[in-house]
Amino acid sequence: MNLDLSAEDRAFQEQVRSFVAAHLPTELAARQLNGGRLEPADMRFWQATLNAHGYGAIHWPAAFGGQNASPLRQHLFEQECALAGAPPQLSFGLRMLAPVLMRFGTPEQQQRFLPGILTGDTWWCQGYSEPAAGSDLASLRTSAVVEGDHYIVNGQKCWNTLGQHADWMFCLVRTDPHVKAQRGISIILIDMRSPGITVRPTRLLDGTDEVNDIYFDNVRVPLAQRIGAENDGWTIAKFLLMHERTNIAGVPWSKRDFERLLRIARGTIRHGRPLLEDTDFRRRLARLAIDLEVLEYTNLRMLSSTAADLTTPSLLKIRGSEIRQAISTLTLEALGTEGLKMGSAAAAAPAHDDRTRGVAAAYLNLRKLSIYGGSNEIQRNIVAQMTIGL
Amino acid sequence: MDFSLTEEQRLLSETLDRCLGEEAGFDRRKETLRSAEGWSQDLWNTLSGLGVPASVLREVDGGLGGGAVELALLCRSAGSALLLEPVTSALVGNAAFARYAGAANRQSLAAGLAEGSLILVPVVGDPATSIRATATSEGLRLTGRAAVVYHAPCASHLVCAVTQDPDGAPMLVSVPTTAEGLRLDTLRTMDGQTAADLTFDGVLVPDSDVWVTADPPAIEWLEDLAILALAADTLGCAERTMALTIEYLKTRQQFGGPIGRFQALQHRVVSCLSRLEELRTWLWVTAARFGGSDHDRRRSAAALKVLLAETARHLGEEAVQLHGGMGVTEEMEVSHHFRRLTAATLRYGNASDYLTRFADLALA
Repeated sequence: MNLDLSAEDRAFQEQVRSFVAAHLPTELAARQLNGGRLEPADMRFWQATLNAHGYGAIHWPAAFGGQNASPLRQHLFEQECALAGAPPQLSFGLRMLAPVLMRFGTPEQQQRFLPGILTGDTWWCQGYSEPAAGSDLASLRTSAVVEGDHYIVNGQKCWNTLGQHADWMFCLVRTDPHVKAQRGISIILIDMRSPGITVRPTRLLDGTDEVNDIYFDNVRVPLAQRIGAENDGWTIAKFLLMHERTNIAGVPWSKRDFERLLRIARGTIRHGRPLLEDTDFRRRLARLAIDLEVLEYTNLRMLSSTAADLTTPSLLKIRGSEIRQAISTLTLEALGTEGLKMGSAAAAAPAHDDRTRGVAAAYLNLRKLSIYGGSNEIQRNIVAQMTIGL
Repeated sequence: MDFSLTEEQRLLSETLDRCLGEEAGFDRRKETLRSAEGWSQDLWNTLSGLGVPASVLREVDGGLGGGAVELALLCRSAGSALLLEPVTSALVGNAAFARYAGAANRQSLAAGLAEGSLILVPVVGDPATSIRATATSEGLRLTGRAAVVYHAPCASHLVCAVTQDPDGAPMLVSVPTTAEGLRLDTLRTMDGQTAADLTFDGVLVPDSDVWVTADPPAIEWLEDLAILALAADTLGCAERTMALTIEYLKTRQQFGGPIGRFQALQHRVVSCLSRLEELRTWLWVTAARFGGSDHDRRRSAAALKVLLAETARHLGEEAVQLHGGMGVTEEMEVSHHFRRLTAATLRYGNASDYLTRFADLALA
């Protein structure tokens, strides 16, 4: 039992901290730390900057341009970036597709697709959910029928995050409609510029177009762009979801949000004194601070353990989403009526000050956390299956 | 960063669990509960033979030199087995002895504490307790009261946090339970354990029994250790509670199958498991912080009491509910766990007090 970072890990943390301080533009950092909007160009810029200094994908094996970083170091890296106000790295390519390509892809596929993920030149999106296949993902219907050396893809995907900016999509399609649902699924890579693809943004309650409906009308996809064997897609998809664990609790982002909440609570005068000194509000902050620190260490406990643990990731997803939502709720309440200000979160619009910018939008937007990635109720089902097993 | 136990720590924990599995079953506990003493000297002797009380004493005093992690491991086992014997109290008392006892007490008490013939119980950390020490011509005299001191009826000695008149400086003193002017009104607690209300009416404390004077951090350390022991006992109790509850859900048949297949019940179990995981994390974090700064340890211990109280309340009530009518019977083990969990919420003051303390330490 030793909760101190090793000298090597501490040195790594320092090194990341200095790198971010030297290379993250002040304007971008200030915008990220104070609720400003994040543009696709910001994310592309940051990924390119990271990559130029060897931080493009630290969790990848060295052979593919990574650093073989331990889960703990990945966490430390994300935390340093988040607390300094850096944009998040887009996970679709880096954390979801890349491990799949490394494990199941052909050498040709790896050489073709991995470099663009690392540099940030290729923006990947995910084609999973469909109107009739949400939590019950295996019931997906988008079909891929072989014609010569191509698949012909027809159907519709939804809840596709940021696909309007994407160059490529990794997509689950039905390649055999006559077997048990899980058995007839394949995973293919689709060029988003292919004829027959229509991207239609879904306006969300916070005013953003974060997700899209995507329609496929006889889209031709070379068979060579299938990953793994035909009808092996479900196994691969499960591998992909199991792999995305390091930041499942979202601790770095919650810590960043909590720091802003503290700034707001210090700077808001209510009944003649800072809100931070209001007895009730202070206790609620304190309770949330405990939850956040316990989450952080539960996450670290999982990351530093070598034992396979099938329930902790689900518990971390549930608690991580609940806690980040609770921070957004308390931040909104800290502002009181000022929390109603929606305005424009656009970087260029000085609609209101740093204190209120983006708070209402974040509260609304973060409802998604307990819904996506396997809703919290699905996560509870998973844990119940592992523990009660009925 | 390493959250794992050493081989020695794992062995310590497993040895005690195995012994308790053989010697401290639920039936034996029921007998002990019915006895006049309310605890078993025989079982205590067995545990002492295993080295339980010696584990946290210094090696020069005949102990094994264990620290906060070892103490927490042993207390967890005690909670899991619903022990009525004074394991948690004696471990906190002996750890205080190891750190603070004066030379004369070390000479006279160490061997007895190590072999278990003497039992040192702490009187610290309860907001309802007030003991004042006044200097007189004969020496220091103690006056005041302490409410519901767990395991005091088992004790040969008490280690008491007292405040010195007139300046209120904190002191740590040891007092034999046979001391003149000390009255023990013994009682049973909600969870069936032995305890006593203590009245100090001019109890004389010779200089040799004064361990610490005017050292607030020393008292805080002991208060925090008592919270750690309680949290570990609670974790063990809660882990066992969940194991019993899951087993019940798998076996109890209604509507043509086990009730554990109902999602409404499954999700309640998962909420309990989630809290349990968090308590587990924070217990070890707090134990580890006994090796760090006073401020971090104090802050962690305050958060630990908040967590243990909320977890104990939630999990205990849920376990009873999930057992249905059986959950409120004396016969079922779960109702005994429920009572121990409920007791934990109340000991050393309410979670609310500790949340305030945490806020003052964490939110500058």
